[in-house]
Amino acid sequence: MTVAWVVHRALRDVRRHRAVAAVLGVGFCLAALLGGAYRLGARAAGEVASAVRGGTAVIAYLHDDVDAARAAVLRETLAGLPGVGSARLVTSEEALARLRQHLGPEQALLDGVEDGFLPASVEIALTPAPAIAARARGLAARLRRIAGIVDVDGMEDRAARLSAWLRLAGWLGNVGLALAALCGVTAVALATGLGRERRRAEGAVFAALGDTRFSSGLPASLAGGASAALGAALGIAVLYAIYRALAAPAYDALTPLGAGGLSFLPAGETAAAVALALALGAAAGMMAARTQDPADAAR
Amino acid sequence: MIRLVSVSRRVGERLVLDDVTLRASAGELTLIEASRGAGKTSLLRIVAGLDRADAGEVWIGDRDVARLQRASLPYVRRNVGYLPPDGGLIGGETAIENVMLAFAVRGAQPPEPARLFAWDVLKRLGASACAEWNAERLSSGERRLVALARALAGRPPVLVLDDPSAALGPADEGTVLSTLLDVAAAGACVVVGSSDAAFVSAAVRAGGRRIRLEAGRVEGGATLVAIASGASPPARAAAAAHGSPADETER
Repeated sequence: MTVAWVVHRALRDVRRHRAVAAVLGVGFCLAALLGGAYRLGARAAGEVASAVRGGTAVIAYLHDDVDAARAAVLRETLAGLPGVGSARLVTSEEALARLRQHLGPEQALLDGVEDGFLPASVEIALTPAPAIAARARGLAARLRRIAGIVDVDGMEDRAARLSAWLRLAGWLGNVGLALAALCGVTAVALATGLGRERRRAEGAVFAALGDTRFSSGLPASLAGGASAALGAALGIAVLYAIYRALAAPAYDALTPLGAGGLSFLPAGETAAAVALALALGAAAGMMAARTQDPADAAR
Repeated sequence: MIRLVSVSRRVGERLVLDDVTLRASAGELTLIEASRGAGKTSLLRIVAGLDRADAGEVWIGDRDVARLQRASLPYVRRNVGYLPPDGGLIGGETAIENVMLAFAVRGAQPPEPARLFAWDVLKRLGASACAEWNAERLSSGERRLVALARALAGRPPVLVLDDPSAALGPADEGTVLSTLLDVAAAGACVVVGSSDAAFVSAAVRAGGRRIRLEAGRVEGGATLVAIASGASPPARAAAAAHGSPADETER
């Protein structure tokens, strides 16, 4: 069968087996929507986590007898450690000023407190990385052994809470991903089974005319692949519309943490999703049209 | 063109073809007359490459189909225009789309030119009026004509037709017979299986050659192998036998 005939027959196939085309289209539309939402959610979670963890992750409090020169040396040493994004020296005066600002109307509580009441500290921001919580714990342990550092706040509680939330978000995301896979598998299974008898009868006609099994399945395969790919493309388009309307503004409002804006899925990922739908739909079409050779069927 | 040597076929416990030997030549209309259950359809399906013989040789041209691998059979079938007993039309497609399937499989013509060729074949058989009708809405006679048109489409060198006159009125029978004689005269090897004694008699009067099949055996056996070859008589002889409108015009 020539390419022109395959396309011609594929269009006929879509018309004759509308239910199959609809099942594949809707199934892969939902799969792309759920799968895309999972990927988008994972990206958002990753960026939020980076923003939160990339802030002041570890604070090293300096001993009272550490002078300004020694404090500057310590800051430089800490800034040079692997995995440390930045290290900032906070003097005792600055720490007190911050506390006053934090207390607001109740800052009178600090009246009479001397300038050296709060210790100087070095605030360390770690570079974003997947195992950042563990790295923060390791760094805190190392800092405690350095002379001149009196205490270290590793912010383990905050990291642990964040990790718990991210685990929950990841679990929900996995459920969404499983649903996306289920939609795809269901669509393939239904498309393969729907109107199977009718397709077999048609296959027998083509076989009697001299078509090979592979060639007689090509139009159904093309129709299936095109339906699934169009469905996936539609799902991604719907996801993009939702992203433009809701997701991006909501993300920006909820993350005043210095994180960059949430971008949509990369073109490579969306193209891969459509290509996967095309391949699965084509396989479903080929399986649905698969017939036995008449010479074998008669035995 | 077609030669069967000692062909046997068993379906379950029943021997449906028993040591069948026959030959059909190019340029000839060969009629296999058989009552129901005599093994006609089994024989025709073997000739068309749709079934395998359990024993014997099935030669189409210079190839023994019985010894071909399964993967090669589709290429044999492409050279055979086969009319199944049930017509085998695809429902939900129009009559002309069904005829076009023959071109689709053979890939000889792109879709649009193929439509014109399909239209010509339907017109020749007097079925052009129903060309755009859904195959599911056709009468049994119309379905028969459309299925026959599909077998004829693309001018295959071999035609194997199972009861082409079934469900047809006398006028359509005449048209079909004259068309088959024309196709044979053009050099095709036309093998017709029929249980319609009147149709077979008319075809024989018009120059066709009759072979009788009874209980899976060819009557007369080896004598039928000796076949006189030669051009078929003109179509008008057949048409005259049936008194078809085509004949009226020629006169």
